[in-house]
Amino acid sequence: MPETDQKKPSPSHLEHLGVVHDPRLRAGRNRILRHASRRGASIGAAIGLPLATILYLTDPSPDRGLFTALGLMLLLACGFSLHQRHRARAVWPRIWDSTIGDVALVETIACNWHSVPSDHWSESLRARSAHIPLPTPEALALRVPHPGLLPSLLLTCLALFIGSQLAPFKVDPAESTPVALDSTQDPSGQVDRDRQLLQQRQDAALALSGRATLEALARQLRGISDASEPPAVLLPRDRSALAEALQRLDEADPLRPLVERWQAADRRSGDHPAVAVDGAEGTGEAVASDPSAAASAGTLDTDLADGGLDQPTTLRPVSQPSGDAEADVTSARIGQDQDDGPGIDQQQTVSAVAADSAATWDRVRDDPRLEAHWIQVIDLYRALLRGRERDGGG
Amino acid sequence: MVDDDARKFCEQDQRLRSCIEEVILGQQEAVAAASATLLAGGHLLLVGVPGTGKTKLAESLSVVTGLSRGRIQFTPDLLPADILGGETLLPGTEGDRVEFRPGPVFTQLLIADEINRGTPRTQSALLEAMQERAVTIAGTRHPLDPLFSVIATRNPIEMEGTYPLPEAQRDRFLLEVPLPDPGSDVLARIAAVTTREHDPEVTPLLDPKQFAQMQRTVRRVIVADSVIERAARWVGATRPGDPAAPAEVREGVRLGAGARALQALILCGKVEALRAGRTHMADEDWRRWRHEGIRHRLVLSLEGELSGFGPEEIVSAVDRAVAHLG
Repeated sequence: MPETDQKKPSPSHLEHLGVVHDPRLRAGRNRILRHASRRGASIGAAIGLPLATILYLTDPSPDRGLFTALGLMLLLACGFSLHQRHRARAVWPRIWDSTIGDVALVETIACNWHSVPSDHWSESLRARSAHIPLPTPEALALRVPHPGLLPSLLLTCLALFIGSQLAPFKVDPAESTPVALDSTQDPSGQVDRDRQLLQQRQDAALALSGRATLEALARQLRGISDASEPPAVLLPRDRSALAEALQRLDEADPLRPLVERWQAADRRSGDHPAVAVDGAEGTGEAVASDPSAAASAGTLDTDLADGGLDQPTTLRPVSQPSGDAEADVTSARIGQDQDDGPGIDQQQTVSAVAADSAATWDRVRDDPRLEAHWIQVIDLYRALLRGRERDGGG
Repeated sequence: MVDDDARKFCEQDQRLRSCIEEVILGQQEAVAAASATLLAGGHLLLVGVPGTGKTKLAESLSVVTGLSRGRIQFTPDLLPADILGGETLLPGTEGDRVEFRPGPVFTQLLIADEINRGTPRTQSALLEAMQERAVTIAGTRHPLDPLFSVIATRNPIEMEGTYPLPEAQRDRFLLEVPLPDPGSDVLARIAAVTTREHDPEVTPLLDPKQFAQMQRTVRRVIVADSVIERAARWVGATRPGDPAAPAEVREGVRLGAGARALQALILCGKVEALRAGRTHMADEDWRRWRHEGIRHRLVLSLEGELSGFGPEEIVSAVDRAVAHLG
C-alpha cells in the first residue's frame, strides 16, 4: 500500500495554495472572507451592544461613558471580525463547497493546485475550477448565517431597565468630590481651604466619637445628616467633648455656631430647678464639676451612681412644680446673700427648705420606676440628714 | 475521457454488486463493503454466525470477479505447509529431485474458511503472504499474484476449538465486515429462492484484467491533503495516548488503530467516491467505512471490557471528539 506523502504542504496553509494564481478561486475566497468579516463584526456588535449599554449607564461621566461604550463596540466588532476571518482562511474551500452542493470539489482543487497533474483526472479537475459558481451572498448567509440580534436586543433592553433603576447613583461631575477638590484646577486656593475645613470638621467629629448623646452632632459635622437637635441635658464628659470639638473647629467655620448652640442649650438647662438641690449639699465634687450645672436633674443620677454612669438609667429628672422650686432657690439665696440682714431668719429658711425637700424626696422615693437599691440609698441619705438636724443643722 | 473511466467503473461495480445480491439476500451493506475491499486491493474478514452467507459471499465474489480462487478450510491440525506448499522429493529416471509444490495460497483469491479454527502457527503462515504478496519457503522467496487477496470468514460465537486471531493478523485485513442475522422477511426470501429446482448461481462478469483495471482506477481518485489529514486525525484519536482521544478511548482502549487503518479508510473512501460519480474523495467517503475499518483493530483494555465499551461506542466517542477539530 502506498505511504502517505509527508512532503506535501499542510492543509493549514490552504490560504496560500492555488488562490494567487487562479482568479476565480481568489474571487470566491475573497468573497467568503468578506462574509466572514461581516459576520464577525455582527457577532461583536451583538455581544458589545448590551455591554456597551451597561458601561454607558454605569459610567459617572456621560461623555466618557459614551466614548467607552463606542470604543468597546468597535473593539469587539473588529476583534470578532478578525477572528472569523482568520478561521475562514483555513476552511473557505469547505464553505464554498457547501454553497454549491458539491463535496470537497473546491477543497481538492485548491489543495492540489500546486501539484503537478499526474493524469487526466487532475487536469480535468483543475479545468473545472473555471466553471465553479462563485458563492453568492445569499448562499453564504444560508450556510454561515449572521447572528440573531434578538438576544442582544433583549439583553440591551434589560440593561436599559436596570440602568434606569440605578440612574440616581449617577453623579453630576460638577458636584462630584474628586473634581471639586482638585486643587490643580483652582488657582484661587479655595479648594485647599475647603479641604482644610473638611479636615477640621472631621477632627471635631472625632472628638465627639463615643458619645452617644453627641452622635447626631458628629454626623452633622461629617456632612452625613442635615440637622441635629441638642438635648436638654449633657453629661460632664459630653461637655468636655463638646469643648474639645469646638477647639478643633476653625473660627470661620459655618458649623461652629452649631456646636456653640449645643453648649448653650446645655447651659440653659442648668438654670432649671431640680430635685437635687438638697441632695447636692453633702456630695461636693461629685455633684458636678461645672458650678452652673450643679442643680440640673441629671446630676442626681451622676451623684448617686458615684460618677460611674454616663447614661441616665431609670432615675430620671422629676418634674417639679415651678413655684415650689422657685421658692426654694429664692429662700436659699436670700439666706446666703443676706446672712446678717434684718427680718430674715436663716434657720427658718433652712427649715422651710428642708420641709420642701422632704416632700420632694418622698415623691422621688415613691416613683414606681425607682429601683430598690436607690430607695435604700435615699433612706440612708434622709436618715443622715435627720441626724444632722438633730445635731444642730450640721 | 476521464469521466468515461469513472462511469465505466460505476457500471461494472454496480453490475458486480447486483449479481451478488441476487445470491446473498438481505446483505447489501456487506456486499458493498466486501466488493470495496477487493477493489481497493485489500483482504477481507467476514464475521457472522453460521447461516448468514459468509462462505457463499466469498465464493460469489471470486466468481463474479473472474479471479482464480483457492479455498482452505481451517482446522486445528492444519499446518503452514498445507497453505503455503513445500518442496517435495520427486523420483526420476535421472535421479531424485526436489520440486516446489505450491500451496493453495498461490492463487488470486484465497478463501480462508473459519480462519479462527487454525492454530496461531498456521494463521501466521498467511502474514507474509497478506502483507507482501510473497511467501518464503526453504529460503526461497516466491511472489504471489499481484491480484492476490484473502477472504477469511470467522464465527464469533463458536469458541471451542478456536484460536483468536492475533492483532498483527487482524490488522492485515482491510475491513472486517459483519454479516448480521437476516430478518424474517429475508429468511422467507432465502427459503423461497433456495428451495427451487435450481439454485441461483452467479456468473463471471469480469476477467482478471478488467478487475485489475478497476483497482487501478480506484488508485487514481484524487484526495485533498486536508481530507487525509482529517482522516488521520480521526484515526489518531482512537489511540489512548493521542491528545484528541476522548475519555472512552483513554479508559477503554489499550491499542488503537494505526497506519493500516488510515490506508484502509482512504482506499475504501476512494471506491466510495467513484461509486458516487466523483473523481475526488470527500470526508463522507472515508467516514462511510470507519466502523468496518476500525473495529477489528481496536484492542480493548480490561476497564473497557468491564465498562461494556464496544467498537461502536468507541467510534461514536471519537466522532464527537474530533467533530470540533473540523
